[in-house]
Amino acid sequence: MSAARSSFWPGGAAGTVLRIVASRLVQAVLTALVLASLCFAFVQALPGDAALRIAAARSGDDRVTAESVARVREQEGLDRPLLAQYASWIGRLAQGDLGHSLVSRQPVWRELAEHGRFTLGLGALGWLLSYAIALPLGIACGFRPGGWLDRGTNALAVALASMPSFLVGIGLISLFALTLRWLPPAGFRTGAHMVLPALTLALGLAAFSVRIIRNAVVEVRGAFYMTFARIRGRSAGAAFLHHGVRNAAIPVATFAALQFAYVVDGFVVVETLFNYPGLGDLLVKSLLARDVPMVMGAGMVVGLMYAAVNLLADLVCIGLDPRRLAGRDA
Amino acid sequence: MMSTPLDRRALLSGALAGAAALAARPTIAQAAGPAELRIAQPWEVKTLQLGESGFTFTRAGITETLVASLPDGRIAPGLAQSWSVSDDGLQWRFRLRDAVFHDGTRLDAAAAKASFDRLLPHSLYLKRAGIAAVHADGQDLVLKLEKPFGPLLSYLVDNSAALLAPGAFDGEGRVRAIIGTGPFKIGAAELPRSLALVRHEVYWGEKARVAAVRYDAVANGDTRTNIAVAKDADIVFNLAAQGVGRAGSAGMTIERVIIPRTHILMLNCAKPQFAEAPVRRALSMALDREGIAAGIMRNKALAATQYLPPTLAEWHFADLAPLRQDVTAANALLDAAGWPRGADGIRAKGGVRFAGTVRTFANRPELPVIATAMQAQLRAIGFDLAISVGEAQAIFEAQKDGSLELGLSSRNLVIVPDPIGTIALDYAADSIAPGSTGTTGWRHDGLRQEVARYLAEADDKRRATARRAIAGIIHEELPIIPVTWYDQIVAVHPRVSGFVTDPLEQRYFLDRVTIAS
Amino acid sequence: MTLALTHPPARIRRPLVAPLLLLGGLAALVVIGPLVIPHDPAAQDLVRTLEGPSAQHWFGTDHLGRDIAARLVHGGVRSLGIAVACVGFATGVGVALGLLAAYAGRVADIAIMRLADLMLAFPGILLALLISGFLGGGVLPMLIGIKLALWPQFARMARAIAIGELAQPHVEAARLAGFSALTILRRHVLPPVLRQTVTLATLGLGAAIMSISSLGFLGLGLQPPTPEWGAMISELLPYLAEAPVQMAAPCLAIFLAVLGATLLGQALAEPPTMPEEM
Repeated sequence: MSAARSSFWPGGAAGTVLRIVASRLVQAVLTALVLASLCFAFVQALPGDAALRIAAARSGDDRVTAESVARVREQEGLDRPLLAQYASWIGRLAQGDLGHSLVSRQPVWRELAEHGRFTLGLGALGWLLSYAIALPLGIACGFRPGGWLDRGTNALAVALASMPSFLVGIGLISLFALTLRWLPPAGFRTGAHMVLPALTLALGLAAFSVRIIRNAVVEVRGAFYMTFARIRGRSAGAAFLHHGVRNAAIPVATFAALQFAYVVDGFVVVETLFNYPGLGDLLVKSLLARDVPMVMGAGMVVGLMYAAVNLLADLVCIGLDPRRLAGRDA
Repeated sequence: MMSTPLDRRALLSGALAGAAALAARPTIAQAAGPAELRIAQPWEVKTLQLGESGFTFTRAGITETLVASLPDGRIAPGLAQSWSVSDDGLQWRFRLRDAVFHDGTRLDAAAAKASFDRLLPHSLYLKRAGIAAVHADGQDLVLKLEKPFGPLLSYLVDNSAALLAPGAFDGEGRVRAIIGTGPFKIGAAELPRSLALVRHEVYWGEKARVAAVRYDAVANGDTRTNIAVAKDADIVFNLAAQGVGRAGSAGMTIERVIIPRTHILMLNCAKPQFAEAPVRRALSMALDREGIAAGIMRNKALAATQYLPPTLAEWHFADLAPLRQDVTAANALLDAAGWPRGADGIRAKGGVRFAGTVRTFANRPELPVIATAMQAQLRAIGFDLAISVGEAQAIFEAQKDGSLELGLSSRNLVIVPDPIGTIALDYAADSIAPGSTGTTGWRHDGLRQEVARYLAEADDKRRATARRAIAGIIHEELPIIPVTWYDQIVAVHPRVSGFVTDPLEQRYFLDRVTIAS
Repeated sequence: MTLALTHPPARIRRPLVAPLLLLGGLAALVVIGPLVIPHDPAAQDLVRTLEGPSAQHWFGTDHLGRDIAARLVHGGVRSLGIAVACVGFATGVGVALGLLAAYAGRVADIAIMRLADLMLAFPGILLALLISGFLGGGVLPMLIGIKLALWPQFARMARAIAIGELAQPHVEAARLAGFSALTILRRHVLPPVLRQTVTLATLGLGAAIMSISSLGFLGLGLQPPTPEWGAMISELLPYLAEAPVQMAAPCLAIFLAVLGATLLGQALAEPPTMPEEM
């Protein structure tokens, strides 16, 4: 029994898992395409002259000239019919080419990789940090529900969850960068630069996850199989390690994935506060500049990232509880 | 004392380096060595094209032009050590300096001509000087003009036509690398955020005193304030006025200098409520410029008494009656002009309400605040102002389709050191300037004649007369209402000495700065 | 489930008191405040800017000399009003679509749930920017943006519960007995869905208040001089050192409002039920 369980996916189910992965990948790609197309439609529907905004983004507002606007319009083919512009984008995408930014003239993939690296790095750091805080605390609280630690943690978590991330960020900057002078207030170049933005994200995430973890632990500890294990003479800790962890991990993993997907969105505030060059920053700037290929590319990447994280969470859940395969086989 | 925060910082960065490696550059180890000058300024470097980002490269001391402007506005030799002009004013001859480009090639007349040939068509202002041909003649560069052009030297400061080495261009004539002649060259570029500069060791003039500069773009004003308060940069440009106190008490030296930039209230003179000059004057008299300058810009001296600030000594005239708040006189003007107040206190005339929506934008964070302040002030004379904060370009678009009522914008008057460049575009051109800075529905033939006269004139005295006439017409007619001037606020780290502010913002003179170890 | 085992019933009722008092108090303040505070939230006094608290200005004045207390209560009408409206709309739309998906199944189910997935994958900030670009900054775009971002959660929750209920033998029996779809939904499916909805909506209220203030903070919210809590914070941030009280007031207001919503949601759903199947 334990041999079958110790392999991540039980034998025979590999095919099912592959099918799930394949169908989810197809779904993800379709979602990304639809997202990109929606981005195209939305940006085109925005009021105002795109060529003017692109020219202004390149040179700054008061250096725009009629000639530079005309040049953008002509060189980037913005006077073509919309359908033709869309078709040419799809055509290039089919060849694996995301096009180039209308502002920087750099390939879209390069800009996305550059900013995506920052977002993923900070997101992963903030996310890991949040679980480094939330896991031990949540488990400790779950073992003594109603105890002083549980109540204190809950109060703190509720307080943190009631603060928008910009408030948390402002508080952290005021304390650690401007008063204590331990850390730099903004930037992205060194590890020290990443502490405050990562902590801002982490605190916001941990405020929610600590509760989920605590409740999962409480529920599992009260479950029948745990009682049974303890009747068989195992200590509470050993019983939890043997049976509980897997079961408690399922809702936590699902929630963690949800949170990671949210990180991308919550980024815009953090990036603005800390002058951090991530995807959110890129997305907002590209949109204001009507940099259509960049917006479409960024929309695709965000959609794919969301799908990938969800898929990963599902796989982890299946790994933790192979019985789930039965219900998912469709 | 000082070492404690640094040690903690090092500890923390060490502890997190593992996780941070995903995102942090491989430069963790070489962060801000003692010899590196750290600059924080607001403008991102979006592209390498001089017609778009040229001002950055000249300010940072990477590129240079034939002639340069000094902080006091005088024109001085740049890459040309001397020049002469033919009697008919059509042929300008520049003797080039013995300079070396950053790639080691020499600046000669052929290279200069090649650079002009490629950059002139994309230059912002120099192309308007009517340069018919560029010739290389030995070590001389000769510019032939279509007709005499008085302010040519000022226009030659145009950084969108700075001189680049032949190797700077790709096959299509676009800039592929910035290879200039300035005291600094680009070591590594991380567009749009950051440039790593290193000293150009064979610079023609005095070599830069610092060996390396980290030139960072920090667009958010609050973030720049934080960087200044944390002393995390050596020079922070465009510090927000609200940050002055905090940065100062943190030990940064604050430099303030009024620069030639004016925040302007644009009016659509084709709309009935703004068609008459006395009504525009009344609107101008309603504005509490000193309150706005002191309360929002935090510098009372910025209240704009006329369009052009005193920094531009040649263009600022003490004999123009200062624009001042006078609500009683404004109300009297409006009563006389036949705009009686309605029951709600708002004036109207012939079914037209004395009202309008001002379009403005938040890229300059003070603009929406100024608009909000003006809303209350204009109500006192019976004008109902609504505010719409959107994109800067929306003002231009509304100008074009005629829907603009009012606009609150900001004008950099010296993209070339002579403000005639922007005045010609904003007040005397047939098409609307796309920078959201020009007049709307207003045409003044007298002004156009004066501008044409000034541009063609070489004689200093007659140019001065034309200047006074131009400034006078703008002041009397008020097709655009000046609100406040603007000051460049710079926070300088105490370890830095030799910093010079250039009110014209053409150069930051980083080569003259030294860092105490 | 194990609710009764781990949580003595006494704890479930008591936590409701504090959040209800908090939210009720805030709502009362926002409704009565404009009647009590004599100042116009837009009235400026450029001479008396950034003044500390006084008898005349309880929370001091901002950078344009406007009364913070007046802006706080007037801003509250918007911050809280928009949040309630958003959640209300999102709940209605989400639950209706979720039930439809569950009951109709097949094509409708797939279409609605894919749409919900798409909305969830769509970066919220992009949505807000696009919509404010279309419609200009104002209450309406904000309403639409936040509503669009919120409804999928409700739809998923409603669908998950409805599918469970519809599979119950007694519902099956009712269907076979020829009861109409509406009757079945109303009698058997809606009650358990609504019980969950209240919880999710309360939590959503907190999220909506935060979203509105974040948009205001990023400058994407309402047009000035309309007061709004997030925009107030953003405006006052540069003056943090000079005007800590003025800055603290809207921060505290947001904090208390979200706190009230969060506590209420938690009290209603102890332990919080996560949508288990994604």
